[in-house]
Amino acid sequence: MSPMLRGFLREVLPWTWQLFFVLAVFTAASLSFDASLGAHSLGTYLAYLSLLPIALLFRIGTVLDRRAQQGWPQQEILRDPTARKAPLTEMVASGILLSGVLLLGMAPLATGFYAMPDASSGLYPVHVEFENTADGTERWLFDLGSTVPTTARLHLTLDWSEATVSAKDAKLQAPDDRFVKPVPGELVHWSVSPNEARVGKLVLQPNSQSGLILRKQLCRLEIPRPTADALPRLLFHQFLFFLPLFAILLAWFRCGRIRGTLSAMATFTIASLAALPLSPVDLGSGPVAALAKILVLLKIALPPVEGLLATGHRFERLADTTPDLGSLSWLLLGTLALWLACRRRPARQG
Amino acid sequence: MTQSPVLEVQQLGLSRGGRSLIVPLDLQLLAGERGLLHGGNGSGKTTFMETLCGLLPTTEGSVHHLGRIGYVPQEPNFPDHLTCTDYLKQLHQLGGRGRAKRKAEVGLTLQQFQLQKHAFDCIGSLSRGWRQRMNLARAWLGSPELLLLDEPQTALDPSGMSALREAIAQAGQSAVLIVAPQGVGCDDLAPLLAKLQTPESV
Repeated sequence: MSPMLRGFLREVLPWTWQLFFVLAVFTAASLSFDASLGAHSLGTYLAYLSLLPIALLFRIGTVLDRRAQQGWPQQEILRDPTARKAPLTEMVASGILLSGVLLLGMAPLATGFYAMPDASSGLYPVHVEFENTADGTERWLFDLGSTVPTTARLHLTLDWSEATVSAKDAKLQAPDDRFVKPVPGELVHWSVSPNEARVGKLVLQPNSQSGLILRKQLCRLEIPRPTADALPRLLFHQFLFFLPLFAILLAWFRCGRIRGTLSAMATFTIASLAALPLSPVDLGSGPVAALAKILVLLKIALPPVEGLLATGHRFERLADTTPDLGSLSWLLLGTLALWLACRRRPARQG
Repeated sequence: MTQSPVLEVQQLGLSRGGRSLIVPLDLQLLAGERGLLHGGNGSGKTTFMETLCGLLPTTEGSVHHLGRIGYVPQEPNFPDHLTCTDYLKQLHQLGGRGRAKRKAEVGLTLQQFQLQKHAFDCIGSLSRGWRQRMNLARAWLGSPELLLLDEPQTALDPSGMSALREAIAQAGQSAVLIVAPQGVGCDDLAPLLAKLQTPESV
């Protein structure tokens, strides 16, 4: 290995940092998958894991800044104005390090530390309301609770004992003219449309005076658990959630000229608000409610990125629910924070 | 056949904040030539040298040089965590001198400035004088065509000065330009070419 490459690798990751990364992966795997200690969640593990490349990126940034101060680019210009060895080495080494950290992070998954859950999908109860329309027909209003992935499916159990229509004519129709033909004795499967997934609500209407009865207590929303091929995407989503937060932390610290602990608390508040799922609950009145309303307003002001941080038992419910515009706005916020933080760099030494 | 100058400076003036720092200067160094510029405190010596290196843009006049430059800055900045050998090896690679010669040239340069006993010490642990020798060593590494020395005598003991004198003598076809104040020990290192003067002092 060339001296330049070896030197940069050793500068970015001395043995203390290497030890930190190995311990961090082990701890993350224990906290996520351990039978008694862990959260039993792949999403939680990916959230922990996404912190490592972010830490590495900031470390690389620090080292690059230090190398610039040490005059590496100038030394290269003096020796060969046309050469690009220093930046090329830095790019190659950064790629090697990032790949290494991700491979290290995948080790617990590959070595069976992570046991796949028995079920390949999560099932969730659904709140249903019946509504009678002006023409005397009934509509079923399903509240899915929040935005759900577009892979979600609704399973309905129908009671045909009082049906007035034949199985051949029975039909459940959505306002967008999609429909499904139920079959007696079988579950009705309804694939959620992108719009229904986004608003978390859907409406179905049986034939007029059909007599079909929906068993509300047996309605289930099925959300498939992400498979192995979705791991890179999910990891990237977690990365997208945390990277701007680190940039915001750095900006608080440098631009706000406040202590690190206070900066961390301020960032943690933003992170909590960003990860908070909004639910349409009446907050009532009173001082606590007023405070809660302020928090809700702040939450609304932030991009809707709670889906990026999909963790816990039900992480599949949140995964892949963030709109692209939300991710982009969040990333722009982080870029702005990073730009501000870089403008207020510590004074050069030496 | 006339030899192309390694360094050619034509009417090079320096200004900062609209104020002229030095009287414009002409200078020419051929391969193997040595030269000394005198300048007092605040006469623009470091700015002048950085302009010659191309690290600062020229605001007046022109600078042309051939080949690689070995620059000895007045205040060197080193990666303190690297050993002398590791650092020089990396610089050797930056210069694209090839792997075959690396070990020999790095060893030779360390020997030239009597740095062998510190070859595997971290640069951060070196005293000011030994750091200055490292400053000289990295400029000499790979026998550049042009050596620009900004107050090279700084912090050197008699043994260091002797090593510097010898290195300049052995620099062969490399052109050497030194800037230093008068009477600090550099006067006999090279023939005096000019004095850097501020417009006010003329």
